[in-house]
Amino acid sequence: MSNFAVNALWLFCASLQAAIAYRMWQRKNYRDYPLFFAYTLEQLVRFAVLFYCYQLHLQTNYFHAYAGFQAIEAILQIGVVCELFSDVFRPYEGIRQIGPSILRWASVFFLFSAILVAAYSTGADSYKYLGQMFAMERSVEIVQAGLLLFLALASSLLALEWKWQTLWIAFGFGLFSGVNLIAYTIRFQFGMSSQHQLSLLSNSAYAVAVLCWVRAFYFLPEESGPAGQPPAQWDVHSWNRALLQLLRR
Amino acid sequence: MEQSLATTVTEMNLIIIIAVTLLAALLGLALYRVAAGRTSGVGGTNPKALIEPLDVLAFNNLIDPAEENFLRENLPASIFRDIQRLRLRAAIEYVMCASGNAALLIALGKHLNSVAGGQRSQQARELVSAAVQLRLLSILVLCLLWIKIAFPGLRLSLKEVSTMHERLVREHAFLDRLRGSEHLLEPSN
Repeated sequence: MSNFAVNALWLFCASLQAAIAYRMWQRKNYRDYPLFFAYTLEQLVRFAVLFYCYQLHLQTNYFHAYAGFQAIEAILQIGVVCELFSDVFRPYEGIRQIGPSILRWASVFFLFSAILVAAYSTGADSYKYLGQMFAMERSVEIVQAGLLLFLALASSLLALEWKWQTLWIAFGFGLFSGVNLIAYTIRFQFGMSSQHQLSLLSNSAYAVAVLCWVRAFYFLPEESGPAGQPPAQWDVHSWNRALLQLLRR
Repeated sequence: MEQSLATTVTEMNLIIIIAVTLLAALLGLALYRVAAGRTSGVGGTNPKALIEPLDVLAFNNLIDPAEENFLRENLPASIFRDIQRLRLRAAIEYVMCASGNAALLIALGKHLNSVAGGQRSQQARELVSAAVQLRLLSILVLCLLWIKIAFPGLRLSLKEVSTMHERLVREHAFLDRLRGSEHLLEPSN
């Protein structure tokens, strides 16, 4: 039953991602989100290779292919988060350069946290290589989830508005990154005993994330804005000057 | 010895699980907040009703250092601290309102930028930039004011921060272009 569910989720995600890739290509969205497009294509290739190895019980090949794709995926996932950072800050010329600074410092902080977590935790896997791989995946998820958290906090504080597609891409990544973070941590601590349930949980979270991405590219809302009337006159510049003077005192 | 080591390892693993779960939960909450902010927006409501009129002169009086010095010199220390806290709380209210107005102007400016063309679009972009700057300044000023509330006697200045900010503004040379943007949101003919 569990095996059937995993296979079904696998096929479900792959077909939806093919649809996303097609839509991005058709609407030229790959210009706005080149790394997300690359990530989607990588997921399709990964599916084809891993599914083939899995069905034919080519265990060694599966294992090597999995490790290789995980490394590529880790780089692409961090790249997509950087892409989201730049996309959120790009429209605001006054603070455009703050985005990369926040990204740089947040990356250093979460990389350091990931190293600390890796150094201070002990795995339950008898097969050391497998344990190390899960530790690495957890570290990547820590950096990714941390960067997304920083982006969401910074944009909330500065009242920056996200584009619809950026929001749903981030939602998808945030969801499966959060679930994977917990799943990898439990998997790393408790070893093989929790493998099947966690794999199903992780795959389900990924399927929901793919649905978020489908929503990002297939269900665009009609832009509704404020009424045509002007707002009350309110002098933003005087306030900028007043606050600057206060800081200068 | 071995048992205490095992206990430490278990505790460490538990801390890691809790920290990781907390990170995941915070991420969910933060993204939800962003999404909620996007959907609530300003659409469908009258912006006039949302923007709170704020008197910048009253705010300037409230944070006037000369007035602060006068109170410091003429009042007993404990009374000065109480009054200063009240003044600072009022100033915080002002800054939070200004910050809220800035958020509203960002949303309005973004919308106008997407629907208007030509010069109005450029002006809308400039208004958004100024409003974002105000939002950023508000965060810094709020930090400063909260520290001052905690230590009312402290003579604290963030001159370096303001100098950095000014340089940033000058580099982008947008303050001068903002002078005429008061009429930005009036309907064009």
